[in-house]
Amino acid sequence: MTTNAADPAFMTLAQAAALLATGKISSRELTRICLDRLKAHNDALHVIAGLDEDDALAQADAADAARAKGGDLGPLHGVPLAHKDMYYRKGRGSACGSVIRKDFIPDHTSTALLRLDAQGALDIARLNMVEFAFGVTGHNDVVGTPKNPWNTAHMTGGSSSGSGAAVAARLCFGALGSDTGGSIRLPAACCGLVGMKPTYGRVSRHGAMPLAHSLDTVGPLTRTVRDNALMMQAIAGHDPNDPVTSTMPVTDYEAELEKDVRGLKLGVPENFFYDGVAPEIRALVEASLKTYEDLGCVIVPVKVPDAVTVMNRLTNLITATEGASVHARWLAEQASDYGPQTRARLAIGLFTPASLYLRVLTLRKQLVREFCDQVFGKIDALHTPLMVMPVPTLAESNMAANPGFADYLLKIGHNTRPGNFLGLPGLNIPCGFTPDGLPCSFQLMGRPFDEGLLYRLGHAYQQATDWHERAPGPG
Amino acid sequence: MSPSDTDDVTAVLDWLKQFQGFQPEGVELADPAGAARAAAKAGREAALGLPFDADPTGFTLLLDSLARKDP
Repeated sequence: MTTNAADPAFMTLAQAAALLATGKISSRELTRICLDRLKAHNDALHVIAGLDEDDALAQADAADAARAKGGDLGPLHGVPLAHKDMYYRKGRGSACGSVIRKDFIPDHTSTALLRLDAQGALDIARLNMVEFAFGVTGHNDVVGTPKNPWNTAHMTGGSSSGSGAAVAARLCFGALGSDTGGSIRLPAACCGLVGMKPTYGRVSRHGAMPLAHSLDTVGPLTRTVRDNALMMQAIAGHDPNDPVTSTMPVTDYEAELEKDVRGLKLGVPENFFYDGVAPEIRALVEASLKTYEDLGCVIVPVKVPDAVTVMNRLTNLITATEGASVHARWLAEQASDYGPQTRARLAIGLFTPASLYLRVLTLRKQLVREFCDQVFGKIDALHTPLMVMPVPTLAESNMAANPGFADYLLKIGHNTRPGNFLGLPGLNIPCGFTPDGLPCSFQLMGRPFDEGLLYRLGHAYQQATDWHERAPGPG
Repeated sequence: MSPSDTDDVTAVLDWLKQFQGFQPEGVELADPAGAARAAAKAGREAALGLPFDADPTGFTLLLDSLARKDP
């Protein structure tokens, strides 16, 4: 582990933005550093899905020119970001981790990218991902699997695998991921990052590849909570192009960071979320609770509704069913172009009875009411382990070699999928390292649209600890 | 059966009751295009009251209603 403070690539997003504002470094210089690091580390990490250096440097030059002119600049002005290869930009390829879409050129730009553009952020590379975002381990049988920068023998988590690896390895300052069953929080956990899966409907999915429209969410992976809040501030809010987005006002997330956490009630689940948890994970997650106690939070044991035990499987059912409807034509005409795991998991969805699918969606509404009443009636946020096991190796988590893969996938997503099923926000915060040197995280879950409170709690924890300052080495 | 199951059965019965007698106005065999438009309109209106609300927009509104009231 290193904390290379002298290298600008090791700054946080907020620090980079502040340094750019002082003029002590230019956007071109910072972008050059990131491009060089992306190329230097790509053989080991396999994160690049697409890289146009000339375009990246042209964006940087435009940002520097705008700064020289003065005027009102966005908080992300000139900062190099890179994103999961499923956010469409007009005229630029977006393969979605697949062979099937390798030649796809979108005719429009996603709302999330447009909103980051509006705040001055640079979009310097497309990052590898799980094929069509359907997988939690990070493996990709068709375009290759990104590697975990903490130990390249281990999985990055998925499906935002390249986003997790690139931000952790200091190849860019932040990245968009997407989360349908854990695809932001799992790579954030495996790579030692902050990852926010926002409330369903908080961030527009317009121009982002769909997997399961009832579950899909868009959110950032960053090195700190403050960085995450900055990116979320840029992308959150209603979008007429995505009718599921809420018209609720967007919280001032940065202002939330400075608020006191004393007296906030943090719930510790008495059931489900610690099922099968490894002792080394339990120890680190419980230590983070002690930190919160020291910060003045009140720790409250809470029983979550028993129905949570079926949410993992129900989330899989919705994902497979809605995913199959998106992929039906390709499954019929180009089945051999899919990786075997993606094809098998999508094909299952073709056989879901419509009556069962509709019943599950109905149950979802009942269960989210029940969950909010029973859990958030007593506490402000729920604190859980993010993964119940240490980060597996690529070999251990290779589904092609594991006949019990369905159960294994359920175990990896044990604590993430309930959040997708219920539509609730979930924030991943690193809280230490297991004896094998891989990161460990806890999760904060909140009421709908309580991202601000989760950021406040997460930031308070990072102010009291230094796990987020560790970087995988050598730099 | 759990309370959730009971709610589901009630929802199914309500749904069947609503659609077993479903006969949109303005459906004429002599004007297939007009009939299709009328049937689609009637279907949309009927769907607004369905217990099986598969529209994610409806789910977002539910989440809105469950948000913290004392920010």
